[in-house]
Amino acid sequence: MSASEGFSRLLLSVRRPESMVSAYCLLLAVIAAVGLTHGYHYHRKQLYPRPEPQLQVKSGDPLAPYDRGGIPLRRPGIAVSQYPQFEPSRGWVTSYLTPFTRWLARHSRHCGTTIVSHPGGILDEILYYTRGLDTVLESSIMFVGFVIFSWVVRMKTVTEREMGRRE
Amino acid sequence: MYPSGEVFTVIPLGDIVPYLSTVNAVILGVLIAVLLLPILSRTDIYVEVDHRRPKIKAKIVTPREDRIKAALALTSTLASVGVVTTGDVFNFTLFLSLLGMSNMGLIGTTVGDDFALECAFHYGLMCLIASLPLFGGAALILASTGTLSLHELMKLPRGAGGWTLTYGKALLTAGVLGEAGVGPFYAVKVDSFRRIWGRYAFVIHLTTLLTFSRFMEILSLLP
Repeated sequence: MSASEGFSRLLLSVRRPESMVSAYCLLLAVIAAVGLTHGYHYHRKQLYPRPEPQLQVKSGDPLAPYDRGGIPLRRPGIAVSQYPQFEPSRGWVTSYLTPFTRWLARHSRHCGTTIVSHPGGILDEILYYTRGLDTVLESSIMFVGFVIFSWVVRMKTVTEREMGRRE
Repeated sequence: MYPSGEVFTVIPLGDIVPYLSTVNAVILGVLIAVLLLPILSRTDIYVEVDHRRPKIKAKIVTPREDRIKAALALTSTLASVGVVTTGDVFNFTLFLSLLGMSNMGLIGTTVGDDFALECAFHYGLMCLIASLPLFGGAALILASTGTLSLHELMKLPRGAGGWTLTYGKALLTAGVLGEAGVGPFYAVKVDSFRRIWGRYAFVIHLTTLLTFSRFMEILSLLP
């Protein structure tokens, strides 16, 4: 096999649309392998305190759970807000509840705290404390995904003639 | 001094704190011009000429396809405007994933082309995989410096954050590559410029390109 033939064979293997995904996964694997061998130091202000049992039993264990404190819908937990100047007006997780969720939270024991009101759940509550636009953006990403998916499925399953008859 | 020139205005809009500087203002102008392009232009007519047999075939984009493509081009451009003006790393990643999603839709919603659908599937797979390093990079930047605001990150001294921040930058770069960088590859794969929806393919190429110029600025802002 000559050099030019090998080169053209290489180009042919890159040509397929699925080859780029494999190459990208290889890149990610290399980055992950590099990352595994290093230690990480975090900003002390961003860490939550650990409660008593974890301090006594597993002191020094990085996997011991954190305690954020607070009572849902009553008292905000311990969280370092990203933009403290907006904290008085939008520091509460409850400030983005819809009227229905507000009603649900008032009339039920377990619903309406975070899972129902936010698309991403608990993780969002931790990160989005005083971050309102992120929630809106995240749901809009999902919305665009659903629009594309439903459009493609509709074009594939409903024939053009039937669609014309319906409109 | 910001890397993208003098800052004209900072909009104190809640948590994203957008700002407009010299380079970003030019990019924003180009983007708005591109946004006007699909709105003002009419539906294309695509003519195929066969030279061996005298045959001319005209194809028109169906209104249904035109509508969804216009909507997705609008979403893509708006997400790109967000990418260019935002002053927050996490919002940058969120806008970027919205951009990747709508660009994937622009390729995927092509009528009567299975190969375009296959390309869109692989682009979607890529967006899915790339969201892990993208958000992971933003999370590592937050964990190492304690803030996500670009205005605050700029004031930090060189070398703050250490290896954690460097690794976060590497992850963020990989995420941007997967989310926006491969968009033109798949758009070219389906031969989009010569298609009847060529004016929307222009949106894919331009938004991903402008995203990169913005990402360079963010990289130079980080300590």
